[in-house]
Amino acid sequence: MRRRLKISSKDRRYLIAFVIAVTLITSGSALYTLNPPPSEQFFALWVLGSHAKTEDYYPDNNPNLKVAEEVNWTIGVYNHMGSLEYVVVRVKLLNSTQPSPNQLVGSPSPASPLFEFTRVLLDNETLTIPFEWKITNVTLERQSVLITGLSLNQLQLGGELVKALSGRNYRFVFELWVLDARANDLSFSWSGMGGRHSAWVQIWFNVTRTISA
Amino acid sequence: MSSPLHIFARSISPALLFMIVLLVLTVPQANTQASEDIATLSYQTFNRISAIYQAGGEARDLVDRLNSALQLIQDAHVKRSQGDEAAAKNLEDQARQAMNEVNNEVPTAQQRSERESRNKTYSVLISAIFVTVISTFAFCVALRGWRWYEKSKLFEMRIVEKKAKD
Repeated sequence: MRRRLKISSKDRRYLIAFVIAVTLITSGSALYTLNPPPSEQFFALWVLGSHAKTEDYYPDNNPNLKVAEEVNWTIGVYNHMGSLEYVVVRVKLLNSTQPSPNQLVGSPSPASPLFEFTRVLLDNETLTIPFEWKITNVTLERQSVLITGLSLNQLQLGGELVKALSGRNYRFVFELWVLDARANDLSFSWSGMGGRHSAWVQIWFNVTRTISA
Repeated sequence: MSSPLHIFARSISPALLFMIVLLVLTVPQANTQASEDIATLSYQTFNRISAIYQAGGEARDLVDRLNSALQLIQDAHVKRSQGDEAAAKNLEDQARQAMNEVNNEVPTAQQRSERESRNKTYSVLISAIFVTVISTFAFCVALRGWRWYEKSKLFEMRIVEKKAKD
């Protein structure tokens, strides 16, 4: 004769409460695993010096550069948007009078880019780009110095690139552009928590009026 | 009196000149259009790979290949700046071919990622059910054990009471 398993009504209540609690906990864990809550979304853009540190941006720490003097930087981009992103870093050469990008309204600098670095980044991925450049030619025009030759990572650029009074206050501007899926075009700003955001960074330098290093 | 050859040459030269001018004006536009086409192709390829990720899947290999194609486009730009148009075009053709191959493999990758996503969902749900069942069983055993302990304690106390009475 089989003995029936007797459970008192009190124990039955405990058992039911336990089953409900465990079901809620495991369901919550499963839901969290399958649909993790979105974290803060952002991009980060930075430029480091010659040893990938926030120092040694110029040879001998002297921002007054001569023609043919090599400068080595590292551009970094970090994707924390929670998704795959198509990013483009646009490199522009400006003087102090040309308009800067405006992150408040999401408008880039109107200057044309000299070069673009394009990459698809996974979520949480960091892109590092070596940026080696040197001025290859300048033209002296009265009080101004006009940069007419530039070498960027083996790319040779010529023409009237940028002019500055007394050869002072040139700047490389690095703008982060992202592919907007809805517009199917690159955009200087992206949607995030608290509105639209942009990222750009600039490094200033001067050019001495001597012709060669 | 002009010879037929001379008349022919005089009539053909304006047409020839027109064709040369047309060619000179069209080639830069063709280069620009080719650049725009390759950029559009890269956007399209990216959007298709992105759809796989948005559906919860992964396609790391396709992302790496798209990045290789983008590097080829960048190298083409460098070659063009050095005046090597032929090499630039060759690199762009390679990039275009690579992106087309990626586009062709997207449907397979999408099916694979959907399958993996479904498997992940099933395994998480089965794990949740398994944990619930095991926990409930362990709770039952623990509860039964506790009740047995309480009964044996009570029995001991009764024996002690009886001995005390005796």
